[in-house]
Amino acid sequence: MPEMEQELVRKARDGDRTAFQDIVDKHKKMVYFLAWDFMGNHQDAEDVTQDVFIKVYLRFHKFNADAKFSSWLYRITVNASIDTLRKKNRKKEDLFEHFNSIGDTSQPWDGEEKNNPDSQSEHRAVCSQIEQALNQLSHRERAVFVMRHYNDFPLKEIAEILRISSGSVKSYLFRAVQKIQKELANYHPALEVDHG
Amino acid sequence: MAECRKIKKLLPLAVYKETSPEENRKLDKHLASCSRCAKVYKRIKQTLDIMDKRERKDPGPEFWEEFTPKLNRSIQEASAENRIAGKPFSRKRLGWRLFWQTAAGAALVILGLFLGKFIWMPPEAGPENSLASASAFHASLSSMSIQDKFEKMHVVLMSIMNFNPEQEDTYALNLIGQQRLFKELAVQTSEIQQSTLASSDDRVYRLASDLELILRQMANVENPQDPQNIKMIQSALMQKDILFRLRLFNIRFQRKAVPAHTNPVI
Repeated sequence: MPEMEQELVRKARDGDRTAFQDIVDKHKKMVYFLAWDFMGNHQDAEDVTQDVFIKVYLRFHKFNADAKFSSWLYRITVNASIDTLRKKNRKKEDLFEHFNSIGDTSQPWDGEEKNNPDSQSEHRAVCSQIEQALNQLSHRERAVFVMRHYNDFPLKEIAEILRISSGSVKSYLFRAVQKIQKELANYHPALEVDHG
Repeated sequence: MAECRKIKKLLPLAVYKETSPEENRKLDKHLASCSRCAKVYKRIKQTLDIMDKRERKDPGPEFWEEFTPKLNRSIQEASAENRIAGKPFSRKRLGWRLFWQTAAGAALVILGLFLGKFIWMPPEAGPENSLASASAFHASLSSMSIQDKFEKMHVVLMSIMNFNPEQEDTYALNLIGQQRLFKELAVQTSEIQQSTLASSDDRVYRLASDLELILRQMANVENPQDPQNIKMIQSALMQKDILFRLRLFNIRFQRKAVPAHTNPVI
């Protein structure tokens, strides 16, 4: 952790509100996008992001100043996202919400395909397939996949965030890619998984 | 074929450039001579190209401007919930809080016992008397012992919450065998409701009361292995936000964090 960030984290941990604000400003987009990659829609991503920083604020005293702050922050993000996903699954609303959230809910579809209707509806179909494929993954597989694929986290860092071995991360990634491929093959037969 | 199997395990890692130079050499050599693996590699790349089409948009400057004030409001509310005003917990403050809480709790218990024994103590022993002594016992439950009980319940309830009856074998949970435990835990929640802490803190009382209701349901349900019943319990836990409230209790009484295995990932 760079010295300046370490100092900022130390101050925030000791109750300095300005330092805490600086930390929020520095990390909020990364947390939001990681949460979005998990949840697939703006509203949930916003809720998770808020939840994450509240938890950081309330649990700062538990943070070990020698540890890497970003790993701790992303671990909280992953856990908060998984908790939210789990709640959604329990409520069995995800299917409908997922249907409504294809694309970005902050810009709802107005019922018209303005530019190039064919390509837009095709894009919607692909987005739906992608969400469907991600829904096939276990929480850990999803965590590893979204961190590696959409956020370019090195596998070593993912292992640190999730507190698992690099070997386990590789296994989760392998399984995630296989499941995604299998699901997408339902719509794109050319992708069919070779079980040989 | 054995070589193909080894290579296939490396293919997704190769797409993400997470293979070592040695593995890369092996891969290049194998893919050049094995059309089947080369095809598999191509399909993985195509799959991941499709996954790239997922779009996430920046919610825009207005959202980010509003984000921090909104967060500050939420933090204030959460802080109020945790009975702290505007400042995160520091170890020093927590130490003093614990000291004063324990001292106040102990003083109340001693006062209660004193009043019970010397002022209102009925002279004769009997069922009423034993009830009174049971109440005094329950009232004397310390916040530490309540926290121990809550922690135990948290672990048990997390295992049920994490259980997916659609994908896992319900008999693995052995809920029939656990029903006795649920009964014991329900009795403990009832004791907590009579404690001094619960009588002075409505949130503890309500938490214990909600827990008792759910635990009694779990203890008395006819077929606890039925996935529908498990879902019903999970839904009740969700509706009452039980796990979150147990965590809040832990934060407020700032002992060791919730056991690591209760966390979904860590």
